[in-house]
Amino acid sequence: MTGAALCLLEVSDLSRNFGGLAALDGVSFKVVRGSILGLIGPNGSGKTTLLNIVCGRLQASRGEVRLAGQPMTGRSPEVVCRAGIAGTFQLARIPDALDARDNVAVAAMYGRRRLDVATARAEAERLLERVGFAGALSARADALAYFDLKRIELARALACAPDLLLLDEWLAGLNPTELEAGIALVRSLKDDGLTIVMVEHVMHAIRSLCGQIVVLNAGRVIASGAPEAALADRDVIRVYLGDGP
Amino acid sequence: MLLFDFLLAGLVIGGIYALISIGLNLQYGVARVLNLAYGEFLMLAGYGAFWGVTLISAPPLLTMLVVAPLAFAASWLLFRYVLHPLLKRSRDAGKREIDSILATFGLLFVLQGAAQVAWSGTDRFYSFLATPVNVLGIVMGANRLLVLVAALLLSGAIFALLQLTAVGRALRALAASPQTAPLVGIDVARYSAGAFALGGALAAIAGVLLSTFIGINPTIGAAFTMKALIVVVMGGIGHVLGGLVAGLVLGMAETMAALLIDPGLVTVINFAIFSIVLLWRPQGLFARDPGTGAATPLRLGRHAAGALLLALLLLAPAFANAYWLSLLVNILMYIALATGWAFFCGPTRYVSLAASAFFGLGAYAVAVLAPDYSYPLALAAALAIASVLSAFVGLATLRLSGMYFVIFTFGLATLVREIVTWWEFSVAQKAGRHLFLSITTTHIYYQLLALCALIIALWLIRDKSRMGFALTALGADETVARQIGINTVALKIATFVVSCLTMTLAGAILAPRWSYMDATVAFNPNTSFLTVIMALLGGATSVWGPMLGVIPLVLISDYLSVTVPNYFSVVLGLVLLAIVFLVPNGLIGLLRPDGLVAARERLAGLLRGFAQRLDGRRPGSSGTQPVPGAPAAPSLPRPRQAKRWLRAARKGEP
Repeated sequence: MTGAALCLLEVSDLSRNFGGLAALDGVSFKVVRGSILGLIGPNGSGKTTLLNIVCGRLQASRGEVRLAGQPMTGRSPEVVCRAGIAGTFQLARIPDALDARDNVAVAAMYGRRRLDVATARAEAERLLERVGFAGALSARADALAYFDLKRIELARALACAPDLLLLDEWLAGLNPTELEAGIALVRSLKDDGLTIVMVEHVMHAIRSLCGQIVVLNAGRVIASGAPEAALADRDVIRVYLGDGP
Repeated sequence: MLLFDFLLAGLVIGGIYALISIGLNLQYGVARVLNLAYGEFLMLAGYGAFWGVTLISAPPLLTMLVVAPLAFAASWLLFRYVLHPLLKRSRDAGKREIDSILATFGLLFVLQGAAQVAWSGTDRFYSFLATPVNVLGIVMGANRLLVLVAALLLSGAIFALLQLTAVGRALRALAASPQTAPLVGIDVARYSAGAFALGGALAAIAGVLLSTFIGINPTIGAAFTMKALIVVVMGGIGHVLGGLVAGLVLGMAETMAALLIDPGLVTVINFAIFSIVLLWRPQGLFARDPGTGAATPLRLGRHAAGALLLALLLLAPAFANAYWLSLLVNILMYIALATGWAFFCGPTRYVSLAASAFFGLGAYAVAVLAPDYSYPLALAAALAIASVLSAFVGLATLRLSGMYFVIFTFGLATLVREIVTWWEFSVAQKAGRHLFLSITTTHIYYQLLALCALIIALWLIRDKSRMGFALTALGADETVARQIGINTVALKIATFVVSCLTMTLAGAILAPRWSYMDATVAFNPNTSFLTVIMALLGGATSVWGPMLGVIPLVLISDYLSVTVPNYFSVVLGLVLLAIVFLVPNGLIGLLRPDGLVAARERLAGLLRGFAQRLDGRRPGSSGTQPVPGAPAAPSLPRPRQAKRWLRAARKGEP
């Protein structure tokens, strides 16, 4: 029974077809509570599809997602959010109808906590500071730097007060300095007890953050385990670099 | 034999539907303008054919050779010099749709009003080829046969043009993706104008064909625009073949329904089929990709002028005479309608044309129930029916967005009106209802004032609560809103029901004002249009916006209907056009700090551009102008842009 208590997210036999194309085909893995799992694979291997199913934006064709033993498959995004899963979008989606602070505050008003407006705004300010947001609280998305948009994305996900955080290429497109700051930030979130699943192409970040990785190719798991071991796998080298001589 | 006659008649009218839907498809699918004045081109061309026959006895087919190129040229000019500049100024797709709706709606008023003034409202007939011919054993008029053949040939020709030629390929690329078309070397401005002009020419051809067997009058246009829209949506936006099939099916369904069921129910069945198709396959019967609604930013306005106004309004009956009081009742009625409408449609950006359905339900319930039972009972019944109906339409927002929702709600309003008409005629066997209630105008005034205060209070409370934030997030990006735990389904339906109940109550309160009521009075579709126009004019995203649109429009129309009754709609249309061009963010936008300056700059810009055009100098060749939706070509920052950038950069600093 300790196994069940340790395992926060369990994905079993998950499949999703788009017409005749199997974007995911029988994917299974477990994420231990308080750990960071890296999800890697070439473009089109099904990483974002997998995240979209876990957070309820897409329905699975087959298989199951469980959060702390509770079935999540078939639930709508808002129900999944209230169960404790929050995530960032691959391309930052910050509506400029709301300013930086309110974009985060609205997630604190809903999400899992349902704070009132004033408390939610205070919480949003705290979270924006926590993620190192450098812009003005009243700034709109079109006036903010790229990294600040990504920070708002993250603060908004955190404002939902999740148990499980999904990061979809959150570190992509950052310059070397920002990347180090980003990695340190993700690590500090883990140290706070958050469980994280991250899709990432930046191998340096994967190696330094993830205790475990899952490598997808064409919708199937081709390797999993500790980063060094999994990345040395022959199949993984083949899909990334092609067949050797 | 009779069955075949009807089938053929259906095919003839279906051919016309197919033709105009193809034209509208070119305008909406390729040029991205929802042209509400589309049918006016058909109407004008029909008049052209009529005058050709009666004045110089020119055969209609000869007239067609003249009016089709004329319509092409006029449409081209309209797009190039009126609509394109309007679309170019905004990069937000939802805003563009609203702009084009408002501008072409103004144009509709102008053209329809001009025709009314010039040629009066009587139906204009002429006889052309009204000789029976025998086709496969069925006798039909030669003119109808000609129409059918011409419509099918033309549809086929357009289809071939789109499928087989390089121009057609460019047009299809533009319809599929206006953003990427310029990247492969397609001149978006030119092809959009061309598609829009071709659409206008098709409308003119349809108008000439139609005039050979149907009388032409100034109001004929709007009905055909609506039919064309329905067919376009059923066939799928950008799908010519789908439009052809859907047009023929609609025409046959109409005539078959008239034959087999009840001529009085044609419109009901028409819209019922359409609603089912729309809910079942919002992207059209033949389209592959689902349509996507534009999620667009919105702003919350300032709440300033309202409170003082409300105090004045409370005291009004004490010093206003009968005329002013009735004018105030008019204003309050539209404030209740427009604010109620914007309560849902403003933040969510859904444009509902169902206002007349709910207003009519309220009014009609009082007319039917109040005389025999009691006023409160009638109110309760109206609210009960409206709750159910609005929850149903609210559910439709889960499947439909953008243009699809607009047309669905319009269809629903028509459906409700036709059902009531049919029920009164066939079941209750009454031509209308007489109302003798002891409710004075002052009573109505205060009830309306209370209703307005209620909806405004609800709105203000909502803006201050979590729900206001949720609705803003929902209107801006529904996917994000759901991801952060907002139950968007419940939120949308609850807001929509409140919005509709407000409009129902407005109808119920207004009912005693009529001494006689029938379905055409209560469910007048103009109520829907005016509500939308007023709310958008004032600015639908903030609570004080709608009333800012209501007051001038009610006053202007009241003034115009007294002073220039004949030119009423022409002037109203022109005023509307002027407003759309000069005040793009609604009148509430003017109250913002930079609003007036921006409006003045826009006016100066328009005049400057006009003067340059008179000089013969082009403000830039058509090939290189940036196009709405297209990525702007990289260029060095010009002084003004640099200044704006600096300002933005400075603002960004804490």
